[in-house]
Amino acid sequence: MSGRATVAAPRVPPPGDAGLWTFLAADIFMFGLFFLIFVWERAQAVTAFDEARRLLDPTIGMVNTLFLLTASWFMVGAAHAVRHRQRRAARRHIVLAFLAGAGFGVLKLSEYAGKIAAGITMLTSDFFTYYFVFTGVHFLHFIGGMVMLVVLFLRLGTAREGEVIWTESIASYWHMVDLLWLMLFPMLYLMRV
Amino acid sequence: MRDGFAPPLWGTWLALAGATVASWLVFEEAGAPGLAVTLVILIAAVKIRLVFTRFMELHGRVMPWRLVFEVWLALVTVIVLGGYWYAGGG
Repeated sequence: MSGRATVAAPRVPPPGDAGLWTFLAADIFMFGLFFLIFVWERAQAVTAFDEARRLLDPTIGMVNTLFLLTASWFMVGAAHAVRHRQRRAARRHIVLAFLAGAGFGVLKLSEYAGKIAAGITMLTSDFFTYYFVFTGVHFLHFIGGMVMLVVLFLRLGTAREGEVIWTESIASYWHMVDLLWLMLFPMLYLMRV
Repeated sequence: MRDGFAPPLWGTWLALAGATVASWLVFEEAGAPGLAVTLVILIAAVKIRLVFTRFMELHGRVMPWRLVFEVWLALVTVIVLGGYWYAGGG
């Protein structure tokens, strides 16, 4: 007998506010349901879905993925900087995340505008109903994230209290917005027959 | 401590960006749609896992949230790929 007691390894809390993670978990499962509905409906009308999909430009989707990944990466930098009490670096990273996010926003809006100008709306076909609803809900999440970045930037300029938990929470939210797009993009733009 | 310009985890960002361009190239260039789409969805799954384990720091014993994200990713990958092949694949 070694005499050594077996002690369960302690759990490590996630970054940011604990309550936020319940929201993030619920949100990703809601999108999981979106994915299930989409592939189910696609299976009922593969040819029609594929014809509609061809009207999307995968290069736009790819560039938008790069914008979101880059914004997410800058939020990693913001969280890291705030933990090391580098407020200036944190605020700079938030500005860079905002600019990368703005790239996504401008490109997505121009894509929506192009589709609508070409007469394609959410009433055009089942594919475009799902396209506009799913990317629209995602876009609302994105707008929420952009607003949070502005609030965080301003807050880091004044208040010191809770700066780490605020930054970690908003960064975690941003990463979730990024993560959801990583599956939305190939499912809508790249799933071909 | 140095007030660095580049955020940490630049290698992860590079891998994610590279994988994004790679999936786009697979889509544009690959002849067999079934194989291409399978590869693209699997690449997406790997990217998602990188985001939640590295960027979101859900690694090691960050429980139960890491488990929630791992289970979600497994379900979503099976749903999307399974749905694609159920519909006849490429």
